[in-house]
Amino acid sequence: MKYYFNVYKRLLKINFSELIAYRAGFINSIISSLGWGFFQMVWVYLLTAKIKSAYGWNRDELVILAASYILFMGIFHMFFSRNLDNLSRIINYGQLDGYLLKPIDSQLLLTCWQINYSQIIRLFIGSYFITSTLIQMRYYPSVTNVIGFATLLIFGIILMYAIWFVVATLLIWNPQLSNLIDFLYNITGMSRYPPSMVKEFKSIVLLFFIPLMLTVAVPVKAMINKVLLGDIVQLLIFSIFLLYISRQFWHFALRYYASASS
Amino acid sequence: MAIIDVKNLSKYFRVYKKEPGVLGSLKSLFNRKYENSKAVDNISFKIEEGELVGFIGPNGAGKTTTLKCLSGLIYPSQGKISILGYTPFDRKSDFLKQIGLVMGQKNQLWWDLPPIESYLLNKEIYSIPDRQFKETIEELAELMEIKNILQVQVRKLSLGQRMKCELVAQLIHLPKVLFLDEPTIGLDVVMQQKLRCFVREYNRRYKATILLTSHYMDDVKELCRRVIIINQGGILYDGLLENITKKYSTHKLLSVIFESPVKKDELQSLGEIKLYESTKVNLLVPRKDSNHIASHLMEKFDVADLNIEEPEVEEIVRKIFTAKIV
Amino acid sequence: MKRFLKIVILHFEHVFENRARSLIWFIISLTNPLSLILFWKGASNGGNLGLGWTFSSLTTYYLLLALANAFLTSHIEEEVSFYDIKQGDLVRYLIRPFSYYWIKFIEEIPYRLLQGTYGLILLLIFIILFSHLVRINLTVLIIALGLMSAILAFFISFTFKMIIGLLAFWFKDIRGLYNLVDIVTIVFAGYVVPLEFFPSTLKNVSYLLPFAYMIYYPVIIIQGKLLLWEILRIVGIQFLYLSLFLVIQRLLWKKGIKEFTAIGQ
Repeated sequence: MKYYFNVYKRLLKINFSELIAYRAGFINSIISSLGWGFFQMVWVYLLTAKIKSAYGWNRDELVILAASYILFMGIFHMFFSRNLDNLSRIINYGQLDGYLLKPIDSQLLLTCWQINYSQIIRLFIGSYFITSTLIQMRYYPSVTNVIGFATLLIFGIILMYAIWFVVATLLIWNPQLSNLIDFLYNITGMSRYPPSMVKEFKSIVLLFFIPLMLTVAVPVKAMINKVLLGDIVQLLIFSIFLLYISRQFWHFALRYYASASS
Repeated sequence: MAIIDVKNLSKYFRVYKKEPGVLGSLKSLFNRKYENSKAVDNISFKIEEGELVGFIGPNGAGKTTTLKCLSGLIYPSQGKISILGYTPFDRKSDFLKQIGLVMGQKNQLWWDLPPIESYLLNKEIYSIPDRQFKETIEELAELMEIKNILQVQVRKLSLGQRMKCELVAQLIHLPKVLFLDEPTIGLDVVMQQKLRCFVREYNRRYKATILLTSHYMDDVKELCRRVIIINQGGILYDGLLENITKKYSTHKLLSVIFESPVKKDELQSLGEIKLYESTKVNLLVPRKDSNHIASHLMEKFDVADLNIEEPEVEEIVRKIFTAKIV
Repeated sequence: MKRFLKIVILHFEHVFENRARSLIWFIISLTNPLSLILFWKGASNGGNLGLGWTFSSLTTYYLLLALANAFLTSHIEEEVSFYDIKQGDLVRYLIRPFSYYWIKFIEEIPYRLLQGTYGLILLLIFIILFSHLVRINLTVLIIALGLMSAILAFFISFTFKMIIGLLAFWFKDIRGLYNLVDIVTIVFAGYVVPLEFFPSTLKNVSYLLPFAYMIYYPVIIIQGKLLLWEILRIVGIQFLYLSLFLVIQRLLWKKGIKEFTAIGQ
C-alpha cells in the first residue's frame, strides 16, 4: 500500500543522506565489499584449480555458484544484515520499546531501518563474473532462465532472511548470545558449496543445513538449465514456511518481552 | 467519558530464584523456583480529557510499569485498561498514532543527520499530512527554542539541545495522550524549568491529557493539580495536591530567625528540629500546639522573625510513603 | 616472578568465566575448515591430488590449521585500536611499570590457551572417530622444530596485529584496512588451500609475504612435509620477520604515544 511505499521511500532517502554525511564509514564499507567480493572469486579459483568436478558440478558451474553467492550476499547485506546485527544491540540496550510504540509493524520497521548502499559493489562483482563465466562456457541463458534465476534468488533471500530473523529473535531471551549472529555469517558461507555435498552425510546436524544450501544453488541451477522441479518446490516451500515461522516466532517473542520486561 | 480508564490493573512478574554455583544451576534446570513479584497491585483510576496528572512514588513503586501498561508495551496480568476507547495492548495503529510515551534518554534521532530528517521519517510513519507537519514543526520548534538547530547534525549538538530535539521527535504527531516518565531526570535547573513550561504549554495549547511520573516534587507542584500517589504497587492517594496538605498534615512548620544563636537542647523539647543554622531554625510542631509554642518562643527568646507555615509537600509525601496512610 | 604469575592466573580466571562465548567463537572458526574437508571428500574422489597430497593428508592439514589458528592467532587489533586508543583506555596501561606490549601479551595468553584447548579436544575427537583420515608422523625432531616455529609464528602474528592496532593513532576509521588484512591472511596463510596448490606467481608472492610464516609453516612442519634444511630456512626467515616487526612496532609506539599524550585523546 501507499503507506508502506512512502515510509520505505523516506528510509531510502534518509539512509542515503547518512551515507553522504559519514564518509569515512562509507569508504571503509566500500573497501570491505570490494575485498570480500573479490576474495570469493579468488577462493573458488584456488579451490577448483586442481580439480575437474565436485559433487556433480564442474569447474565453471562451481565458479558461477560462487559468483551468484557474491550477488546474493550483496543483496542480503545491502538490505538486511545491518538490521539483524542491530537487533541484538537494540534489545540489549532497551531500545526496542521505541520501535514497538510506532504505529507500524515492528518486524517490518526493524528489518528495513538501515540500508547499506556500499554493498552494491558486490552486486556488480557477482554479475560480472556470472556473465563472463557464462560467455566462457558458451552458454547463453534464455529469458526463462534469467527470470527463473532472479525469482528463485528472491525466494532464496527470503529463506535466508527468515532463518536470520529467527536466530536474531532468540536474542530476546538471551541477549548475550550475540555471537550467534556471527555464527550465522559463517554458516551462510555453506551456500557456496553444491547442496549434494551435505546430502551425502546422513548426519542430522548436516541435514539442518539443507534449506540454507538451497538458497543460491537452486537459482543457479535454473540459470544453467539443470534444475529439477523438486528443487524449486523445496526452495519455495522452505522459504514461505520459514517466513511464516519467523513471523509467528517474532510475535511470540514480543509477548514474552511484553510480559517479562520491567 | 474518561479518556483514560483503568480498572483493577495488576501486573505480576515472575522472578526466578537460583542458588549460586554450579549445583544451583543444575538444580534450577529441573526445578525452577520462582516468586511472583507484584509490580502493580489492583489499581484503578480515571483521567478526563485535558487533565495534567502527576504520578508520584518512590523508586520501584510501580510507576514505570503502569505507564508501560497504559502505552501497550506490557501485558497486564489482570484488569482492564481503556484509553481513547482502545485497549492498549492490542497495539492498534490508530491507537499508537494518538499516544506518546517519553521515557528518559532514548536515542531515536539519526546521529549523523540533522533532526529534521528524523522528523520527516516520523512524519511518514505517523501519516502526517504535509501542511499539518509544517505547522507542527513551526510551533514545537518555537516552544522548545530549537528553530536554529533543526538543520544541524545531531552529533554536533549539546546534550540539552539533543534532548529537546528528541522530545520534539516524539511529539511530531501531536499525541492526544502523553505519558512522561521522569522527564526532568538528569537535567540542570534551567532545563528543568524550560521543560515544565513546555509541558504546561503543550497541555494548554493542544488540550492534551498528560500523565507525568516523577520523584521530583517540584515537577508535580508546578504542573499538576491532581496527583496519584503510588507505593509498592498500590494507590495511596488520588486527588488534588492541595488537599494532601490539608488532609494529612498533622504538624505545622515554625520558621524562626533568632537575634542570637540558641542552643539546640533548649529547642528540642518543643518540637522536631528540621533546620538548625545558628540563628535560623525550622521547627516542626503538632498542629494544635503551634500557636502556643510560637508565643512561648517569642517570650523566651529574642526573635527577629517568625512564620507559621504548612510543612512542605515533600515532607508529607515522605510520611505517606513510610507510614502508608490510606 | 610471583606477582607476574598472579596476574596471569587472574586473567585466566576471567577468561574462563566467559568460556561459553569463547566456545562459540571456536565453533565459528571451525565452519570453514570442516566444510572444506567435506568439499574435498567429493572433489578428490579419495584419490591423489598431486604434489604428494591425498584426501587424508588434506584433512589432517585443515585440522592442524584449525588447531594452529586457535593457538597462534591473536585478535588484539580491535582492542588496541578501538578500546585503548580511540576510547582512551590506553591511559590505564601507561601507569603500569610493564611495557604495553608485554601486558597485552599476558592478557592474550589465557584466550589462546582456552581456544587451543578446544582445538586439541577437536583433534582428539577426529583422531578417535576418523582415525583413518588423520595422518601425523611425529618424531622428536619434528616436534621440537615445529614448536619453535610455532612460538616464532605466534610472536610474528601478535606483533603484526599490534602494529595494525597502533595505526589507530593516525587514522580515524580503519575497519576497511582490518577487513583487507583478514582477507589477505585467509588467502596467503593457507586457509583456503595449502600454498603448494597456488599457481606459480601467487605461490612466489606467498613465500615473500609474512602471513605464511604466522600459521602455515608450523602446520606444514608438523605434518612432516619439509626437509630439515627447508625447515631451518623457514625458521631463519621467521626470525627475520619477527625482528623487522619488533622494530616497526617500537617505532610506531614511540611516535604514537607522543601524539596520544600531546592531544590528551
